[in-house]
Amino acid sequence: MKNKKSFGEIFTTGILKQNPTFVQFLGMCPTLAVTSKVENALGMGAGVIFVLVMSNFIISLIRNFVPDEVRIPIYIVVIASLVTILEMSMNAFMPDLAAALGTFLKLIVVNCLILGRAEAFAAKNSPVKSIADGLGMGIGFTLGISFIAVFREVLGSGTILGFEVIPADFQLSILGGPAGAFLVFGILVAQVTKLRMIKAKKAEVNA
Amino acid sequence: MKHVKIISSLLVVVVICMVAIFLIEGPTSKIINERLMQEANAALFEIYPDATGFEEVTEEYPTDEAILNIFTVKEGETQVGVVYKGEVAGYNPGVQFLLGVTTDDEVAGFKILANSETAGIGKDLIEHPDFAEQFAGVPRETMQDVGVDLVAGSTANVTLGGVNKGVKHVLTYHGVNFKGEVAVVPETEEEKIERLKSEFFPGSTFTDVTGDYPEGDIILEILEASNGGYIFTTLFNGYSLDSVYMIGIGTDGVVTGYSTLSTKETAGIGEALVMNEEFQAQFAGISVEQLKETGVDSVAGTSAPFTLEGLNESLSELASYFNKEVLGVQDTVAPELAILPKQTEFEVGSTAPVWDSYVTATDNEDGVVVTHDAEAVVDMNVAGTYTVMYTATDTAGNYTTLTIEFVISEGAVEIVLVPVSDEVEAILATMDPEASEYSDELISDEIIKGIYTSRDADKNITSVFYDVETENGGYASNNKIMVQFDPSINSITKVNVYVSKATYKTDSYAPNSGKGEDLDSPLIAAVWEGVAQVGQVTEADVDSVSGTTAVETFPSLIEVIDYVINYQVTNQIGGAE
Repeated sequence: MKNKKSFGEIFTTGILKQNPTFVQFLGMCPTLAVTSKVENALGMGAGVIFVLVMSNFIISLIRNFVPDEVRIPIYIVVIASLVTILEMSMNAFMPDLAAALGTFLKLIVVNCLILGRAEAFAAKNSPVKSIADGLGMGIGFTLGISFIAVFREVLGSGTILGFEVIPADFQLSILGGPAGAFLVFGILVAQVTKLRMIKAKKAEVNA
Repeated sequence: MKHVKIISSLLVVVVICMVAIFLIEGPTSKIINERLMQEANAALFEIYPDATGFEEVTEEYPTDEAILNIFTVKEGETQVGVVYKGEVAGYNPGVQFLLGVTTDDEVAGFKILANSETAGIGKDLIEHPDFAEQFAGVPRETMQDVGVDLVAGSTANVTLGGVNKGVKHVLTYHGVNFKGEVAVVPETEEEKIERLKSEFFPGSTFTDVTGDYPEGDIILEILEASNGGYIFTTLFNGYSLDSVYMIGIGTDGVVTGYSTLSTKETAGIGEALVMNEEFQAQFAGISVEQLKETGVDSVAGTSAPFTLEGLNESLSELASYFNKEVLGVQDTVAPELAILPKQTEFEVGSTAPVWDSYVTATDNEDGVVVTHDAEAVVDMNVAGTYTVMYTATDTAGNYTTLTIEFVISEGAVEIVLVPVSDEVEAILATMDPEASEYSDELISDEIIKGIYTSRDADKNITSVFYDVETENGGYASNNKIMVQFDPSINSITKVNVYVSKATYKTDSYAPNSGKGEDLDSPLIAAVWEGVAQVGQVTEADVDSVSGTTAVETFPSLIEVIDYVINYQVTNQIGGAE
């Protein structure tokens, strides 16, 4: 089943319609863990974009040579290698960000978004389209977690990208913690789902 | 065929991935390792900012209790020096520092890593930027001999002493282990004594003659030198008790040498004085007479008044002992007696004055006793003129006499008053502000520094004041206390600790917060209000208001106040007729 959509359509699908964070619920672990600061969310997003685009591209390239029986192990090897390269580069050139992301940087390997896109898209589409999908999904993921992070950082720590916006007395420090991550995520998902339902109803009425 | 394809495709992917990782790993790992090294050795870089590498070599050198780690320093391929991480005790244990030594044998730098010194004193000294600046560029030998100084405004001698000791120790270790210097084996106690003996009286043999002479309070051992002289091993009490020194005195009464054998004086203060080489060297050539009369001075860079005073007292006592017991010099000088300008005319029926207090006696040697016949001669109830004879006798039996005429008259007597000094008046005025006059009764003894009275407009005594000091029994000596009595009932009205040097005494301590520093708390003074009997106030009473136990400070305070209660009750100064 080849994807007939254009490059631009594929790209925007990942960002909006099939947003990995709020629609597909992929990669929940880093979504909850690294969203206490916008800076970390952007860093994690950038890492995911890099791995996702590269893995989609490589897997698309080799899709016709890989025997079906071993495709998953091979995808994992490719993704793991990319994450290792990413981790070494980040440690070398962005040590502070690497330290802030901690284990979650390594855990990009098992971020189901990446393997999910490899299996669902790259394995069946051309390299160019796979890149479009990787970029779209990666940016969608980045926007999703950054969106959560904005709420958590501003309300929880009173800062945005390190600048103070809310005095300490008025902060909801619970939002900075793990429980806050679930709360913010839940509320935002509810809003997004509501919007989607309204849109779906409109489409039904129009149809 | 299928299997071959599966295996070969897996292999190809794995190999390509390995190669890719390998290519990235090379350049990134270099950057990562460099950064990790810089983070781990951030402090070391402060000593050697241009270093390119530090290698820990602690295991390759002998263990040392003061040295925690040793690093060699490289700039490029050249080794430029060594950095030591050391630990010493300042005022408190745990002063950790880095000390660098260059291959040119200069101190490269010094940095304090951790310490628990007192904030405001030791901590401020060693963390002061000027302090660390004293190190860099100083030749190792100079640093090993001289050490560093306090910075302006600091008095943290104890901390300084500790740091200097640690730094010198590390530098000595460096000399031995990196420069091939011969380790100086510390002299044993016996070796030191043998060396001193041969220095004090070269070529002599020595005989222990301690038992041939009377036992002295402070003399532990007397050795007689075969070529004319004696070596005394003697005790002194400075700020602390029981320091020991050895001194050689020739039969001509000239000191041949001095050495402090052991001391418990405070490190960096008293210890620094008595262990100072220049200080110990000044004894040689001075006379026993000088030891007795003036003693010795401190030397530049030391200041330890309590220690010096204690040592001089011991030297003076030793000099007297030497003159009298060893040389057999007979004391033929009689004591001197002087009359104090006091009231000698009394109304019939008055309380007898303190007869002892009319004269002061001094002697060239210690041990003068003053006697008088006043009780036998004077009858306070019968008018007349009485002549009292005072006799001062020293331990050798020399004596001096003088007489004072006392007049007991029927009519009113003009009262002669000796005004108190301005300093004393300032204190008395706070305690008895309503008095119209304060006078000095010119009475003192070894504990009472003075007795003063306050009087009303008719010159009647309203209060009696005893000026006393706690002796060394107070953890800090010379706390000054004014005790006020109501003479009509001989009970204490007020206790005023007007100078308190008690432990940790600072302005920031509120009463009830610590130990001896509570000494001048009004709460503690209040314990004595209305007290009229010796033993009425106990340690427990003072502890309970203070909330602490100051096991030396409070007992010495109780002791001196009990002494003055007894004195007042016995002598009834200003007392009811």
